[in-house]
Amino acid sequence: MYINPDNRRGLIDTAPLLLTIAPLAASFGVIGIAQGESPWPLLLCSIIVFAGSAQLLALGLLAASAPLWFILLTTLVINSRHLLYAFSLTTQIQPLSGRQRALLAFVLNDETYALVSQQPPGPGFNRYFLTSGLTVWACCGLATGLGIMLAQELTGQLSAELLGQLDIIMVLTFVSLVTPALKRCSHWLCATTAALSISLCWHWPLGSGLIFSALLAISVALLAERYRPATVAYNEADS
Amino acid sequence: MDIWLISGMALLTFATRYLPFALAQQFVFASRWQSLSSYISIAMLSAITAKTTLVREQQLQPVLTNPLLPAALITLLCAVAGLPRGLSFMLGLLVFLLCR
Repeated sequence: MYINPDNRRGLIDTAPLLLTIAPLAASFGVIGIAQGESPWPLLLCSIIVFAGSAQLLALGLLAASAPLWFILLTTLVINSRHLLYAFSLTTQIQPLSGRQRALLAFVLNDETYALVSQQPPGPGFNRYFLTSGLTVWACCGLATGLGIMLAQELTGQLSAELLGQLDIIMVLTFVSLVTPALKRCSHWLCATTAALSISLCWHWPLGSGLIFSALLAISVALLAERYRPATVAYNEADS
Repeated sequence: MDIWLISGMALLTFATRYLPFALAQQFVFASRWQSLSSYISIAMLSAITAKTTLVREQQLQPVLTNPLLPAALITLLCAVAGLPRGLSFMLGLLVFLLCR
């Protein structure tokens, strides 16, 4: 069977990340059932919302009897990082039709963004993006379904310790993806500022520390780029 | 979970992802924007990676006994040295398994 090289690349690059995504999606099903939710709304939520952290938090807020508006506001704040993701990809998706953009926007997620943000723009970009996004989406739906079906059995296995161990896949993938993109001093400064800042404000509510750290790092990098010595600028332009 | 909550969450999530894509049609982005967009990905991914690595069990653990930290550092060094992505990943994983 012929598979387009861009689709194949998207699938191969995304596959290791599924080891991190599947247990989280399954735990959404398990926790939901344990909280007394019906199976179909849980599955529907995983399929049409497709925002893991917001879904898990929504379950927590439902358990705490939070009002509807508060859960929706929380969803908006948590997902605000997607605004930054999508803004950074606007150049690559500019040649695409409205329908293609809508489809890519629907499947945009953390893992897919980590992969596509390192891809050059071009004719294969949307195929790579779509394959990666759809793979993650299908994995989330299937894993949630599995979590719902095996709720009782899985509860004991999906311990926080096991989930913590699987984080290593995401950490190593992201480090190996981002590091080659650090080509200038301002890039290193940006990465270091983001890491230091999140170390200080990781506990801020609703993931706001993440957005703050990213915005701070971007500002610092832009300032550094603006005020860098002329000789450095000349050398970088030369290379 | 009722249908209104699921619909609202779906709508808000999609809006945050689609809005910049929809606006892309309206503007011609300067080359300056491409420089800015490279910083967005570096900043977001660095922050996510640092948080996942350093915060374990709701506590900041910037110590080498946290096995994620030496693994991430080895992967970083390998990537800086120009080793292929897969090899950097595997060496990091090996260090993680040894330190665990």
